[in-house]
Amino acid sequence: MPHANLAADSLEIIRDAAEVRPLTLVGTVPGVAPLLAAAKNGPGAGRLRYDPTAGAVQYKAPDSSTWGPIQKTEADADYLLLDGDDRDAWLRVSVYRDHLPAGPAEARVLLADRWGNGVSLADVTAEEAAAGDVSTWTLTLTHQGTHTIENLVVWLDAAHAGLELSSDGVAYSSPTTEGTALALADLSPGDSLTLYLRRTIAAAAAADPDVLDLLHFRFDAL
Amino acid sequence: MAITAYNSTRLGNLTTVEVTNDLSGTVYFHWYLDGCYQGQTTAASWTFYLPTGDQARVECLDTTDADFDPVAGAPDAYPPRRTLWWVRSQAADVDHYRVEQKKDAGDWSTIARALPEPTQWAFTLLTGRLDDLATYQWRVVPVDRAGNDGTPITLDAHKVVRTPDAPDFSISYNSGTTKVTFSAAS
Repeated sequence: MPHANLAADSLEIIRDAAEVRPLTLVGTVPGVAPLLAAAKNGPGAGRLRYDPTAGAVQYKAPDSSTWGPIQKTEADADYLLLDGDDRDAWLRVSVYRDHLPAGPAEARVLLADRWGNGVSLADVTAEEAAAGDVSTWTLTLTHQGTHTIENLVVWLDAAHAGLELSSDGVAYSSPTTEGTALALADLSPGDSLTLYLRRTIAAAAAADPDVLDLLHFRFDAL
Repeated sequence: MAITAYNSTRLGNLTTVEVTNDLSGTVYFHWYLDGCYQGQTTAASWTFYLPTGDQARVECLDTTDADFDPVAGAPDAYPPRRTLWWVRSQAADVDHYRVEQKKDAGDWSTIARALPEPTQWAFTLLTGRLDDLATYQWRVVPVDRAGNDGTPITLDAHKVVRTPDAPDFSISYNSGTTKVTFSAAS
């Protein structure tokens, strides 16, 4: 999947050779194909609009009160549309100018949580819960931007269910705040590193089809 | 919000649900089929496709708030269906899209064909009911006018886990008081 190559979109998370999509997405305006919504959007209804006079699109994330900066669509290309309140709540899109509408257009972008995608691997079946289960998997973090990524850290949502993180596959921990986050190596453009995850379900635990583990990443792209 | 009555009418594979509510002014009705969001109307009815012998749970949320968030405000549910959504192919000679589904290690099977309108940009399809604890995959194959398959879009595999545990409780009967007592397990 192509990247808009802006700082906020420069860390690609890959599992099983495919980019992890944290949210499912439904809805757009003609001529704009959404590619990926950042996890920071959270679930809910965002909005996307096109202004033919300005030749530009704008995005507003769920629960946001402010439209993001105007993004001119001067060529068929990928663009990163930022929310006006939170620049980390972005939407990566491809624009096809021949299909853009003649008049103004606005559409709802419905975003819903996604389970079992490597980042939010948390569906617990009754069988797994009864027997107990330990699952391990890896994510590949690849730097697709043009600036060095520094101070890259990862931590878990406080509501995580038995999830642990490791940078080497040996020492695992479950940090739940940015202050205690697991520090990862700096990444130059094109570099990758492996993040190890382990989920433990104690035997006789309750099944839960609706638990969502979330990973949080923070980094500086200088 | 208050829906006071549901009334459904079935004609062949089409089922129309009408609701009665007690709101005034412009009312926005948000429709959910088996927990999957279907869309918004300002009319108090919704018609959907339901094959012979199939069943579905229909829920409607009514509001006068034009900005109501139908995802954040959705009723709690464990949807046994998935909404498939895709953007049109850029090829000029697409005749139709073939939507295929694969369950576990089975073969791909066609579940729908979508015929595009000339200006249609995006497509939505609600799957049939899915089996719990099965892993599903879907792909959309553009087919040109000569009948040739184009490059399919394949969605990630998805394991359906939606059945919560049954409540854990015990029941006792007291013959003296002739009462039955339900107690939650500790």
